[in-house]
Parts: sequence; C-alpha cells; structure tokens
Amino acid sequence: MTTIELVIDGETFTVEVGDVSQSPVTVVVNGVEKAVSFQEVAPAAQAPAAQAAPAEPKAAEEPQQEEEAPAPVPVGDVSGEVIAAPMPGKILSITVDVGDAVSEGDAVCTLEAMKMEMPISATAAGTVKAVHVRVGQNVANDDPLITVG
Amino acid sequence: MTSEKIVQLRQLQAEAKLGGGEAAIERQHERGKMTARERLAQLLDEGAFQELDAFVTHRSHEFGMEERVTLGDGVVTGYGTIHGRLVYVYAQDATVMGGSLGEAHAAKIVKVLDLAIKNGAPVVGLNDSGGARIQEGILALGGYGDIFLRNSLASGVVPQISVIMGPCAGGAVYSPALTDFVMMVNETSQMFITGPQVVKAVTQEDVDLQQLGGARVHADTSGVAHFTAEDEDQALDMVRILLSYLPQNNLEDPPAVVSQDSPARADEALETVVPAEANTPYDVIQVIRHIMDMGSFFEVQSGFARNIVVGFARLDGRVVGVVANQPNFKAGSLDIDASIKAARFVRFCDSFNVPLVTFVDVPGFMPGVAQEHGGIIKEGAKLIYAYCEATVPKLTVVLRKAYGGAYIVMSSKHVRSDFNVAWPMAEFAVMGPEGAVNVIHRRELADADDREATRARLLDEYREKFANPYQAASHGYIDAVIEPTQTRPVLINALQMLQNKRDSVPAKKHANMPL
Repeated sequence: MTTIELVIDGETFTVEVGDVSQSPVTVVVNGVEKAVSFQEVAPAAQAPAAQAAPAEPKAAEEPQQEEEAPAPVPVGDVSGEVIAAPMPGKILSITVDVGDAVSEGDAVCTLEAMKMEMPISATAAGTVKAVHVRVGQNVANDDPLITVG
Repeated sequence: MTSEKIVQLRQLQAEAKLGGGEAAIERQHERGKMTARERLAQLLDEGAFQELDAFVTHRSHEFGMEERVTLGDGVVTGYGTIHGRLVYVYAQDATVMGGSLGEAHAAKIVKVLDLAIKNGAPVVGLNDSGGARIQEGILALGGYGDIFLRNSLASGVVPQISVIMGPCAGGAVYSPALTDFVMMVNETSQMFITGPQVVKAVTQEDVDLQQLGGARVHADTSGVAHFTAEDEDQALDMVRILLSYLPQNNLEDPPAVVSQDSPARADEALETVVPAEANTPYDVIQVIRHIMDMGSFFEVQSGFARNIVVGFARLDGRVVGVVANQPNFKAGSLDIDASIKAARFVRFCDSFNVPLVTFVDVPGFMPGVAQEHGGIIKEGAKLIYAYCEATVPKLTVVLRKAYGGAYIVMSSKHVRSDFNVAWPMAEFAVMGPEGAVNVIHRRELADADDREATRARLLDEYREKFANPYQAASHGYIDAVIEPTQTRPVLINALQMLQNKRDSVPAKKHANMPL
C-alpha cells in the first residue's frame, strides 16, 4: 500500500492505493475501502459523469479523475440516446445488459426515490450501448443511467 | 349614384380581405400556415365572424412607410361565436409586413380587449408577428404597453387565450404570458425574448429557433405553453374545446352540460388502480378518468412538471378543475415547478368559479440543494397561498399518502377545503414510516441488540398508528372514509351540496402573493 495525500478543492483525502497493476485495485479513501477498476483511455480525457466524488489516483503523476467502481462506463465513450435519472435517488435494479434490444417504453432499471420504486423506461428503441450505473449507486437528477443506440 | 358608393365599398372590402396580397398569401400557405382570416373562419362558428376596423391604416411617414399602407394594418380583429357563445378575437396577419405591430395595429387589439372587459366575454388572440414595427419606433413599443395594460386589467375578469402560430419575439411574448392559456403549434411557432443570433452574440450559445423557443421546449421545460398542437387545425379545435369548460366571465358559472354518464356509477376499477404498496407508482390520470364523466378530462400543461396533474373535467355535467399528485413521476413529490403549475391553475379556477377537486398521494416536498437554492420555500408557498385564497367549492380525496407539509398544502381542511374524504388505504403522517422511526426512536435503535428486529417492530407500531385514515377521521380532518368505488357518487353529491357556497377574503386592495 502506498499512501498519498490529495487535496481536491481544498478538501484533503488520505488515499492508500494497493497494487496498481491489478484491476480492480483496493483503494482506501479516508479510511473507507473501495474497489477501483482501471481502463486505458485515450489521452484526450473524457468528460467525467457528474459527481464530484473523491477522485482516486490512477498513479502519482496523474492524480485526476477516474471512475468510481466496476460497472460504470463514462458517457462520452458511447453515442446514442442517454436515459437520464428523472430525480435524485438510488438504483435498485438494472434489468438490461449491454447488447440487449429494447423498445421505447421498456423498463431498463428501477430508481428508488422518496420511498417510491420507479421503473425507468427506455426513451428510444435500440440496443443498450452502455450502462453507466450499478445497483445500489446513488444518482443525482439528470445523471446518465443507460445509453441506447 | 348610390350603387357607385356601394361598388367602392365592395372594392375596399375586397382589398382589405387580401391583406398583404395574393403572393404573400401563397407564401404563407407554402409554410404550412393559414392566413389570419382562414384561421378565424376555422376557429369561430360558421359565418359568425364580424370584423371591426377593417379600414384602419397606420399613420407613419418615416422610411417610405407612406408607400406601404395596407387596409387593416396587419391584424384582423372583431368578434364572433364559438358553440354559440360570444368571443372576441384578433389574428395577426403575417402577410402584411410580417404581422409586425405598430401603433394602429396595437390600437385595434386594444379595442377588442376593451370590448371584452366591458361586455364580459373571452378573448382569443392568434399571434403570428415578427415583432415591433421598427419604422414606427416608440409608437410600436407604446402599442405593446397598451396591450399589456388591457391584458392585466382583463385578468380574472374574462378568460384570455393566446395561440402562437408563428414567430412571437421580444416584447410580443409578454402579452401571451399575461393571458390565462398559451397554446403553441409544433414546428411553426416560437416564443423568445431574443432570437438565436442575439443569444449567440451575448452568451456564445449555439441554439436554433426550435431549441430556443419551440413548442416542445415551452410545453416541457419552461412551462410557458399550456397546450401544444400538431398543426393549426388541431390548435384551433383545442381552443374550442377549452372554451367549453370556461364561463364567459368572472360573474358566471362555467357551462354545465347534460351528462351521458350515470352519477351513481360505482367504478370497480378504482379498487385496483392504486397499488396497495406505498412504494409502487401508478398513473393517477387513470384514477381521474374513472371518476370523472366519461371522456371529460382535458389536461392542462401535460408536459411540464409531470409530478402534478391539472386539468378540467366534468362531474355529472358540471365543470371542475382537477389537481392530482402523479406518483408515476418524481414519486408525486411537490417541487418548484409542480407548485407553480398547480398554483396558477388553482388561481385560474378560483377566478372563474370552477370548483376544485384535489386527489392526494404525496410523499412530501422534494428535498435537495437544487430545490432549496431554487427557492422551493417561496415557490411552494404559492400553492399554499392559492389554496388558502380560493373560495370556490373545494373537494379533496386522499388516495394513499398524505405526508408532511405537502398534505396540508394539498387542499386539506386547514386551508379551508370544504369536503375531504380518504380511501381506506390512505396514510396521514408527518413523514413516511422509515424516516419517522429513525427520528423518534433514534436512541432505542442505537441501543438495541438486534437493531433490525427492533426497527421492524417499531415500523409496525408506527404503521398501525399512522398508516391509516382513522386518526385523521377521529379529529374531523377528513369528513369520511369511503370505498374507492363510491368516489364518483360521493363527489357528485358533495358538489351539489356545495353549489351555493359563499366565502370571502377580507377586503383589501390586493394581497401580496409570494412571487
């Protein structure tokens, strides 16, 4: 474990990083353990998907942005119709996988908010190109959930 | 001699009818648009249009304007009937200098607005104008101001409807905004304060006409438009339908019809349309349709703030205004947009003697930084204010959740609703069971050996106490608990009971509504 101290927007994060050659790698941020997966991205950086979550360092020389955990695919990587969260809430279930064909109006996942379990429907027909969230994740209003193309 | 004079009149009438001329009319048709006169003919009962001011012309001599004089000055005004009832109308004529508004053009609109106020009949304005006639300078701007004044004075006196059937930019947008209902036509109408070029110059944003101010944007995002139509025919039909729910003025009741639907109809579907589990969404519009006269529900602002549903309907032939939380969208919570949408509708209904029927299934006000910083406090207050102020008969049905301050807002007894009932699955509480147990029993939960078992027991206790309508009933906060199937007959009966209701607000110049 390498220990790094990161200051992001004036807030200090103590980050312990495990073996970076592995993926997912165990990272401890301010005492909270997280599994972080890495993937190669083209040097022209992608736009991060909202959320100012503490950025886990990929390596010491590149301390900015990396996605939070296993599933999420950044939105910039795929093109198509993005199904966005209608309100802030928690993802209860995801009923589609990448490659699934969906029709407009098909339920693609369930969002729990204000104690209501709301099915989120596809806003266009097509193939699921990417799933940007995972079960249990909290999302903000308008966060991308799934891209259909 | 006489016949010569008559021939001259006929020639002038024919000239006035042509507006900007045959070539311009053809161009208007090519754009998929009707002319001002064609629109009025379509809107009004057949042959009912009576024109005023057909020979009015502008008095401008700047920039060669004396060469460009058109009878009528780019707007067709007058009156007629819709379903046999008087209505004042004006239609801007895009074939005459782009329908641009100058002094004389504005004065014609002012004349029909003044007539409408004096004689107590609705006004329908068909807008299709490039904006202020620049050649007339400040006289054009003054014209807008004169119209705004009449729109404001007519507000709450006669219903005012604006149909946007082409561009509507700059000062021109504020007359529709001051009226009760704005209808837009998909693809061919736009509303904005400044067009795409100015937006680009000032904020560097690239946006086209439709993205900036098309029908979709105003129906779904800004809430400026109350209705959208696929084409002009549909728009004009919708105006006729809308007027069938509205009284002529604030001293009349809305027009009643003879209902084909039995007032005693007990609809079995109502037993299953609302899921028993409080965390399962459903479409409240189904509830509304099953209760109201068959086919009578006419939704207003269906695309904006979909977490609340508003619209007109009939109960045994009598017009009511419906407000309902929509669990299918944002859990039916009240947020800034929903509060504003419902408040405006409630105030319209109260202005024009339309009784209110409110269906409640609300988990509370929407939490969050965006809502707080957006001013949910003052925006939510608008809905409270509107319900408190309203003196029309108010009927309320609690379908399921009635939580927190939102329960009080949604036409509770405390905001002087007249008749409140609840379905047996209704829950009245300060908050949902989970949140409440966490707060009330924080210490007990923290100390518990088996936290989950304790939580489950406490949840059950709380549900037993509050997750029902009987505590509210024991305090008289609801008048009755009714079976869902009985909702229609019960509401019709109550509406009858309240038909001579009189209530008032203290005499004042006017109130200071939170804005």
